[in-house]
Amino acid sequence: MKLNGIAASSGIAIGPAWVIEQLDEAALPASIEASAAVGETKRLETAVAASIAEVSGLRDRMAAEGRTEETEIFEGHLLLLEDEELIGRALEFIASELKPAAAAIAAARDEIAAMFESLDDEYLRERAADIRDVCGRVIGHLTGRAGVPSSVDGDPVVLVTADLTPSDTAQLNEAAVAGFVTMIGGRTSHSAIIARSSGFPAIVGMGRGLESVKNGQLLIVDGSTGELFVDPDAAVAQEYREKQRALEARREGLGALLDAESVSSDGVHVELAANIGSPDDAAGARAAGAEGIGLFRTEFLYMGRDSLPTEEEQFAAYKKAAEAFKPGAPIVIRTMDIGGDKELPLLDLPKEDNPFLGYRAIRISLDRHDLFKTQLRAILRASAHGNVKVMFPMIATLAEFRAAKALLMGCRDELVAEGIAVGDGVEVGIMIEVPGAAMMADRFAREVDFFSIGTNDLTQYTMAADRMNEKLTALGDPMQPAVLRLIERVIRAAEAEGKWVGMCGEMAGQPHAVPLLLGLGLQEFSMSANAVLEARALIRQLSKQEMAALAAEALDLDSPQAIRELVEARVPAVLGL
Amino acid sequence: MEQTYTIGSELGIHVRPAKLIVEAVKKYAGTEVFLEKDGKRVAAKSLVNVLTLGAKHGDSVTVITEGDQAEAAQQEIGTILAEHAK
Repeated sequence: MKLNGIAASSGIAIGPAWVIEQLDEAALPASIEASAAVGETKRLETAVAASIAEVSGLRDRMAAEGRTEETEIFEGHLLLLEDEELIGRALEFIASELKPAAAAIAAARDEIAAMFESLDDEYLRERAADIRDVCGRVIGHLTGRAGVPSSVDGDPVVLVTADLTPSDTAQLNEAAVAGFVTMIGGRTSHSAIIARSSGFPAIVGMGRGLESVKNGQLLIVDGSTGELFVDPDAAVAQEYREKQRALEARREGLGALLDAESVSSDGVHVELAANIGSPDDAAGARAAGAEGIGLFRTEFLYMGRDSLPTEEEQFAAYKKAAEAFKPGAPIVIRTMDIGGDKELPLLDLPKEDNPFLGYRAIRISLDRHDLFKTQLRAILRASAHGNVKVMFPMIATLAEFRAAKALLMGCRDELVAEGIAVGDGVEVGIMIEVPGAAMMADRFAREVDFFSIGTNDLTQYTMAADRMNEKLTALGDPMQPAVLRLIERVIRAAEAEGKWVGMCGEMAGQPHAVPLLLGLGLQEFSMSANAVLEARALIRQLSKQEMAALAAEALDLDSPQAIRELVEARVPAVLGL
Repeated sequence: MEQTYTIGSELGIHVRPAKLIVEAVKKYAGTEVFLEKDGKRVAAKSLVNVLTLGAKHGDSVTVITEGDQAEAAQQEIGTILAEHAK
């Protein structure tokens, strides 16, 4: 049997199914004899103690690995597991309503989660998810329901579940888990992002079809196509084992390129950098072959917390990212890109009907000098510790850029006056995401030090297609000739003024796009760290001169399909990537 | 003893101050600590209680301490409210 879902994280995983059942709580016994209450109380206390031990272990592991975000999640979970109100309510349900332990904790969970959900503070409302997460763990201990295995006898398993909670994903380890498939979620859901960053093949959003999968059935996950084979016949299993071996061999071959230069066959050097979302990712990006950071998303500093990040805290984060690379490696820090789909309870921004066209990113920063200057000062201070560059997101007009740059220069003068070290000649650039800015690129190029093309948003704004809408995938394709033409325009504008151009959208790492971007003259490609070596291998086989001719032809075509076919015909190496 | 504080933080009593309050209360065995807002009174030794009190910016919150170390507990929690909830 074959099922299809959303390809969330590439690679092939083969292993027995490990089904994490959605517990049917309605089927739990509803009540117990009065004589059993003492025993149920004991069982509940034992399950809570086991959960506390488990979560403490997870917290310590996350702390040791320097994963601050996960450490904080688990610290909060520990407090909840020790909370007299939560556990106390469950004990009351056993004593006064004669509920069995699992039903009692479920009732306490529902009651307390509802209390959180009724608050008018969004950040506190979201804490209901933590209550559900910890109670789920306790219920798992009570009902003997499997969670994420930490070790298995035999082959690593493929997890099959409705969705993975943050505490589930933190527990994924390669020795026990080969990959996972979920019923709900999309390419940008938490579990999909974690899968990509930690290299687990995964398919999400498979729907109810997954319910037919039984524990122990052989599964094959093709994370590149979103196909899941259940109990495949011997021929299919054989074919995928070979594919897996070929991928493995390829990965080993790519390993040889770790320290190689990113240079075309006719000697043109480009830079391959990584996009990161937290300073903890920087060391991994370097180990994966990245030559620098082309996009450091700083939103993590502001999200899911209850106070604004201080200058010190931001400085430490930026410095850590810079110091993970060798001296002189470029580190491009994007100022906060909050708003749009990234809500920030801290700022209490009004809900908007059209957040992608709304009050976000630089538009907020230019209004909130307090926030913005704290961040600019921290970035400038970090520039004394590495080749740090500043990038402003969502710039639409020259006036915005000039205002942002003036604030940056003001901060710089303040720091110098205070006797605090800042780097010399910090480069200042903008993201090109708004078509209006792309049209004005020649004017911007006189004033900025660099452009970085953000193709995810540039594509959705150019094609008027929401990238979260799965019905519009074909329309929101960055290989649309309209988008390529804008990219060419931006690169030519920069060349005329001797400025450099990079790209930090997903397109920068897509095999079909790389030859065209090289041909158009892109100098810096910034992508997921795990795509760097593939891109390097490809670029080393390409001639910049030939790719320039190919790109010129592509710009004359009228559809993404025609452009992809042309690339495949001229650069057969992209097939199968 | 009782003392009333006005919450100065934009965010009200959020997770971080709530956590500090709960941890502080646990140190004072034999002393009961309650928080009260708009006539709703909760035991401050539970994170769930302190958070779901839903104390927002500008709200008045009364700290009530009873027992051997009522004064020390009052002082410590007052300090947390003044420092972390402003």
